[in-house]
Amino acid sequence: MNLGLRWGDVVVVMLAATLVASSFTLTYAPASGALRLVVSQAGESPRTFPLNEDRTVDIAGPAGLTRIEIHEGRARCLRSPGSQGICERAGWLERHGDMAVSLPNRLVLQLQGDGTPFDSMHF
Amino acid sequence: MTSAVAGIRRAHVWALGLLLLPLLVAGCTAHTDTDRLTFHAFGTLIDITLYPAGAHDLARLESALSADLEIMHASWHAWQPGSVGRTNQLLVLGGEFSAPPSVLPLIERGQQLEIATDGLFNPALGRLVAAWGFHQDEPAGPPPDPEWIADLLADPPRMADIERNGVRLRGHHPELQLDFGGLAKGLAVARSIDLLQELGVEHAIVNAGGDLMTLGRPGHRPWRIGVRDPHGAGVLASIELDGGEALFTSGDYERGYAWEGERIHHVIDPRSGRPSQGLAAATVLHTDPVLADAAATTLMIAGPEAWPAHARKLGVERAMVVLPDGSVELTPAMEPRVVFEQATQSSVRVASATSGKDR
Amino acid sequence: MSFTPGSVDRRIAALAALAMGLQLIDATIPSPVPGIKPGLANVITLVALLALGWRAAMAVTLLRIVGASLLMGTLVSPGFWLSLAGGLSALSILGILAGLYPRHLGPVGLAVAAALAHTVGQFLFAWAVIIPHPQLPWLLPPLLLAALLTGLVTGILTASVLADPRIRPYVRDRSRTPAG
Repeated sequence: MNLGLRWGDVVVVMLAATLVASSFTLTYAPASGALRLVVSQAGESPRTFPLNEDRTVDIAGPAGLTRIEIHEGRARCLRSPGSQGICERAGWLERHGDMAVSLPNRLVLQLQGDGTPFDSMHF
Repeated sequence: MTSAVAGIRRAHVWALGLLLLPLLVAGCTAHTDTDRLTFHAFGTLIDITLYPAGAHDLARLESALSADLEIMHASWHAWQPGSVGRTNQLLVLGGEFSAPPSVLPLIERGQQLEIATDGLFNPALGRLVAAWGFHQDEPAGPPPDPEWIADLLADPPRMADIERNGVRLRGHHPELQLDFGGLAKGLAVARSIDLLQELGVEHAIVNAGGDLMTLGRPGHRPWRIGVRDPHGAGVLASIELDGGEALFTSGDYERGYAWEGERIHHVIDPRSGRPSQGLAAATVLHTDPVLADAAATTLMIAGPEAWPAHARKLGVERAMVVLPDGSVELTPAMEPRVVFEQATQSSVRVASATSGKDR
Repeated sequence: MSFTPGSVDRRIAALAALAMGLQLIDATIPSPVPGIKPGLANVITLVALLALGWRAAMAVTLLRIVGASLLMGTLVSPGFWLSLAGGLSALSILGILAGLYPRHLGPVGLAVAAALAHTVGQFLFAWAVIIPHPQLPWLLPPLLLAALLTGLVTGILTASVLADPRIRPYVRDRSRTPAG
């Protein structure tokens, strides 16, 4: 059967195939790609830290020093002033949206990833 | 190739471009369209979300809001000198006096709410809250003597013991001490929303230490709120809010301390004179932030059996409680508003309309 | 101006009827997103386009969408608007590319382009108006793949329809001008 194929058909079909393939890779890309730690502190502009390299971050605040540990793509509040240890007890932040708060040092740690960002966190 | 070009007229290229434009727009709006402002005021972290991004003078808004909130904080402080402190001194003296203006709205709402909650919400029991060690920056023991508690509860002070004639007040109980901890944040948030509106803001969220209220809508979408798991770092659930909705939570994990292995938290049950038991947290969604604040405290005190009845009595349709084992109960009207993360799905129940013992 | 139907009108009507039938069949195929369908009726749109011209193809498509939704009782429902969005998107692409036929583009390329435009148009409409859920794009890749495959099938079917000796005389080729 004569399909009446021309060079334009080949171009269209190849463009279409590329569109389909890239739609798969873009949409279903692994989530671990762009995860980062955002530290919001009262009176400061937000600071962002990547999670790909292990490191320790020290943030100074009115009540003392908050030490943040970044290890294997996760982050946690290692030590922070405050009698109840609320910041430390949050544990490891691993996924988009996970957060820890240090009220004495007036700061919030939150992981930001590819997911839709929250407008505000209720706790 | 020229015939191919001739075959595609210019208008067609424009049409193609217009067709592809929505795709580009859709791709580009995936990221934040809001500004965030974080500062310390009212004794906590204040987080303001503003829409659209780049449309406001953030410094001006911050200085106006924080000045206002600091005034309210000082005025309404439960134990440091301020309008509430002065009012407490004058109430105990028993004579008639003119109330400081900033305290009147709190007294009015406090009296209404005491009636509406059958006495479960009682801001006149500041003595009890202080006795448990909560009238200091770092709450600590020792707890009050059980006999002392029993004596106080034999004839407890109530909001009804404040006689009100316009702006003139007179106290009728020697142990009366006002503590508006369960109410003040709601009023502060409401005032901050009003202030933002006066300053020309049309779409925003005011978040005071996790309790929040919305103003307007961010374009064609609702506000996306993440509810944090109290016992960890993760997101417990997400809620979408429209304009003018407030979300307040009272929990046993907020202010408190440990005493001889027991967790002493700041929500005191007026019936037992001790920290409330049975519920780890209560969340209320309502258009009135003052009511939401007080209702969250009330439901926590009401406990796992009676909370739905109290919610109904207060006119609160959307509420959610967390039990000590981590399971969640919600009112039927709240159920469609909350999207739980996978982990909690299995332990979510809807409180039946007729559950709870009516008082 | 005369209102007596001419031969072109009769052909458009016949094609529209055929297309409606195909759309009804289309409606029985299940789909992950309610309302989004593979668009088999595009075969008729293409045949109309290549035998009778773009305006005839537009007439056939619009008649088909309205007629089928009248028959299914879905007029003015979200499904109807989705069909319309898909149909108009496909027509727009065909309008742009039709000039390339038959020298540089054959029915297969046209069909694939039309099918993708149909799906993308439907998806964007659904996302903007009906279900503005931020995670809806997750459904797009399999829908696009389905569109590519149905486009290829549609193209092959169209080619065989056009090759039929009863239709051949009406089809534009290098030596004729389009009818209308």
